[in-house]
Amino acid sequence: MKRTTRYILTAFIALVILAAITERPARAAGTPAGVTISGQATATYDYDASPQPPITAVTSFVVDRKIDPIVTTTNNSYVSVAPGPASQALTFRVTNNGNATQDYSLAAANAADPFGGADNFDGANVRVFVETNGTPGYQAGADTATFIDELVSDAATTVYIMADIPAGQATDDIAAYALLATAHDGGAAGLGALTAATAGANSQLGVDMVFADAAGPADGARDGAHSAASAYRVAGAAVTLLKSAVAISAGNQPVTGATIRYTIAVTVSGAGTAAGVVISDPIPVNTTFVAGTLTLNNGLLTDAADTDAGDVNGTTAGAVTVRLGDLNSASPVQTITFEVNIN
Amino acid sequence: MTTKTVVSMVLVVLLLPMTAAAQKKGSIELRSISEVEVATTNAKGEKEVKRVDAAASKVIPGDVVIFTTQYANVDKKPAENVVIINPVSEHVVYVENSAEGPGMKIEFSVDQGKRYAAPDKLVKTDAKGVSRRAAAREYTHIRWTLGKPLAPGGKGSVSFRARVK
Repeated sequence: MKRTTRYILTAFIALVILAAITERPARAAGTPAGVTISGQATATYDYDASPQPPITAVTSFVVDRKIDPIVTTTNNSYVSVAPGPASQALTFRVTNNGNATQDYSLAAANAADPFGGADNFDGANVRVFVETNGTPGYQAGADTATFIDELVSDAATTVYIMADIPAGQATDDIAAYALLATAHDGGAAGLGALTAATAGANSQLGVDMVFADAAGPADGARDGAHSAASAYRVAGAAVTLLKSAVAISAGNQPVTGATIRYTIAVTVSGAGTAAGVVISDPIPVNTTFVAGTLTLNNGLLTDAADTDAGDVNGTTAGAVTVRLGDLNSASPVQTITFEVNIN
Repeated sequence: MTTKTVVSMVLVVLLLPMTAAAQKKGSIELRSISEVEVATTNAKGEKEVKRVDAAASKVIPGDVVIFTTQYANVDKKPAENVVIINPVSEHVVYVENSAEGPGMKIEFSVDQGKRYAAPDKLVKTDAKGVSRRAAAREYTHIRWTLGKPLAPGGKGSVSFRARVK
């Protein structure tokens, strides 16, 4: 029995020391739940000009558990998406502004457009994942958790809503979603039980559960949950042409008989794909195309309308035509050149 | 000593600070009270603010708690030089201008009770030796001094508000 006694005493002393070490002043989320706050008063006084022993009185209460998740989006504006691709991400932060470790269940809900537009389509295959591997951005197969486990007081974590954007969605279409985080009890691995507020106005013995969260687009105030919305907007692709001309014959002057080389640079910007891009450029009046000078990205093209990408005076009479196919913002700049003689 | 007695001793040690205390040592009686204000609607549909014992209420970080100290002279002789000191708990922050005490001189300390002064004379000096007026959130102690003897049977109370960190 003596040995057991010693163990218990040692454990108790260790607990007291641990409590002293882990004590930290002023934290944003506040005094941890379960801490006892004491108010002490000491009075001193004299009787017949002789000081009396000081008298003290103490009052104390226990700090209850504040449940206050805060959800924000890190998207400053619309997430630009093209029609068609799978697994596009909206990015959120979930912060535990309460004073105890919590788990959070997560859900994506349809929402009004937080950026002022009108939500008019839904993504497909909508899922929610927690940033798991620490690498910024969603990585398929790596960011797999679907709830937040053991988020300590004051800590925050990144959460993604993933959706597939339907093909054929028109430019400027908008799909808005809210991320809803709902508090569950922390303390063990896995999603704990739904945290329930302590009912009634009066405290029960021990630590009460107090919802202190604000309202979000998909939840009310003091409901143990919070939400924030972000949105996808379909962006089309913009094709930009830059045409320049250089006199390449002797003297470099654009005089009669001189040879001019035209260069057309084609770039695509925006989130979408420009499908079946065809460049058609009329041969200027009073000039004659120099046979065998049409190139695409430094590769010679035949002048005839055949299997290669370009032709002259074939697809369109009196014009150079080059078929560039599907291009997006990741495609390299497409460079077309051809030469003409000034008549 | 059996395990059982050790456990119960530990429990007693843990429970001791929980019990609100009215002490009668000597002949001044002192009582400490901590309360929170709770807004309620009465039977007439009017809004009321009630004070409720903090230990029997929900208190979370950010809430304001009212700490009251009641004092009484239960002896047959007058008590002189009555001074009451309230430390501001490390888990709360004093709410500016909230200290009340009729007939009391109220002073504050920012150095764990070594020196006391009125708010406009309290200074805090940083590592570079630069002094500035101390902020209410830096107060560590409050001292109340009764200007005249407390007659037999005389009593009163002092209070302050503090926000839970």
